[in-house]
Amino acid sequence: MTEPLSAWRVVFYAPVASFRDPLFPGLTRGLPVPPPSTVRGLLAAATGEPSESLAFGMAAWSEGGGTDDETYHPISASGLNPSVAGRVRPGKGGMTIRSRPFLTGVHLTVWLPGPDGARIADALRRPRWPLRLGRSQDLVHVGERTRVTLNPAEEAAVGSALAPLSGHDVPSATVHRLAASVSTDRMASRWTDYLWCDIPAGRHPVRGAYEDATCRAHPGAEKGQALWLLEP
Amino acid sequence: MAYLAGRMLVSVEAGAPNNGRSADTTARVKYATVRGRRHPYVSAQAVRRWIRDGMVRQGVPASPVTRVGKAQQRAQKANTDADPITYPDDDLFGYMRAGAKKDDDATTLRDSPFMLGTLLSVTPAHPTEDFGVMARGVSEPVLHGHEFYSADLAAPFLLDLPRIGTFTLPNAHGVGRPNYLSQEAALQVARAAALGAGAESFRGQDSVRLPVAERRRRAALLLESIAHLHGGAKQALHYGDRVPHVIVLVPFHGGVNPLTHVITGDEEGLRIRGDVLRGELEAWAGEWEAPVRIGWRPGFRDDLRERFEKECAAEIADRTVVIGHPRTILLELAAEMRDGTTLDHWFEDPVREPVREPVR
Repeated sequence: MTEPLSAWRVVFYAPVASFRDPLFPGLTRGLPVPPPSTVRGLLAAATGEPSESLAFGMAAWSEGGGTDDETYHPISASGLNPSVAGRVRPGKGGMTIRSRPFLTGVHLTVWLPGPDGARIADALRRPRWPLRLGRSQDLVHVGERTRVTLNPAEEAAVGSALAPLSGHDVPSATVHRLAASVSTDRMASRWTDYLWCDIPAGRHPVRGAYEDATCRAHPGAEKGQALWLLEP
Repeated sequence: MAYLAGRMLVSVEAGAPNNGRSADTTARVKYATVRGRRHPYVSAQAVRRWIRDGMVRQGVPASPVTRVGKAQQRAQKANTDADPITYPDDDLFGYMRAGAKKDDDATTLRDSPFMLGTLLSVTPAHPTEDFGVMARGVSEPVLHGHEFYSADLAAPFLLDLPRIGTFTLPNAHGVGRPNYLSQEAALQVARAAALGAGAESFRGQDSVRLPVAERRRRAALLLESIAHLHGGAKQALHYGDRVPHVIVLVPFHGGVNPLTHVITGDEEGLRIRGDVLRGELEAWAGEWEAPVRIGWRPGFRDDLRERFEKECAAEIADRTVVIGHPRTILLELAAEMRDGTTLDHWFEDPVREPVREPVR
């Protein structure tokens, strides 16, 4: 944590994306940022590996949002309510309408350090599986990939980076409990609390952070973006 | 080649093709708030429904209707489960099959090989509220207002061609469970065997795969359906043509879609940018295959078209970019796929050589 680190910075943009909070069963509460596990899935889709376990840094924000009404046609395994051309009759366990919050103009910046980071940045040139941020309809645009040097920092622009609880003391930051990683059989999630600012915070003292001097992850932020390497 | 990336533009003139919950007696159109301004949209699932219905209209057999009642005790399972082997629409659009909690059945799904984003207006638009009254032969008129708007809606899409007719099987660690078929279940389906499905490895996972002739037929059906696209709400009051006004199609080696900013909007309104297309093609050199197919309906925004054709003059001259009517472009591509002589390599993943960056 004292040495400068070489990394690839990759920016992603999704015109529309939504991240459901799985801690609210039966409700669709939307998260304001993609969880790290979602980003891990995006990276694994690029490399084609079952999972990617490198520690990476991320910052994310969105331009706006809305709430969609969606018709669900779940197919019951019992076969009592068959699907006909993709439609299922309404009723218990059948066709139903749910509201689904979504974000528009989602901007995501990811820092991928070390040789693993170089391998993933390389794979993003020709992803093995389709790249999506959120659900299968949330196609993501891969922006520029830049080689950067990350310096350990005492003070940096917190911006819209995801930070561990011990990362900084910005009063406007809110805590979000997000999945850090999901096991490959999807049976177990590792939950972690993260700090995130919906309005980019300026320069503050930071702990355990690196600084990317050439980057502002949000147009309203200052240069010298702070980032924390998030473990799976 | 493995992915067909694209972006489509549907221009809505005084329409309300997709509506949210109504407020009081007024039906509201769906809109998102971007930077504090309202952008109407048509949800991805609505457009997917239009395309799916379009496939049925083209005579693709949809899952048959089976009435299930107490008399039958239980339905014929083969007809009632989502069956991606028999039905192209289940294959292309995916599904979710929810198990009963008490039976401990796993919830399984097929992840859609056809991905389509939200048709979101490129510029803010203010819906008009139309005041409607039903007063024919009633003493107390019934009020029924509704909103409608005019806007240019754009959406990205991506078709994972090798995954059409390919069903991954779970391994011991549960990786690849999303397709839920066990090998026996997949191969037992008499029709799959009759179609000549075989087991093979797909992107590092075991899978069952339909023969390429069926897979290319399904991809072609999807394109043909987009060429006939129509559907949505308020067809009687606000009839509108829903065939994409502009569509851009680029085949890529990897699962990327860098066409986001080719069709976009700013303070001036709609922008269709040849310079952005050229920049992206240059940045992704070696990752895509010519020609770039562009469908542009005659008479739609001639000013933008003239500028676009000027910006891409060199590419149009050497046929790197081909411009035609969206229907012609889509139907010709579908015909070329069905033919199977030139595009079959699209249905396999590219041979993976390590991709090296030019050093900057």
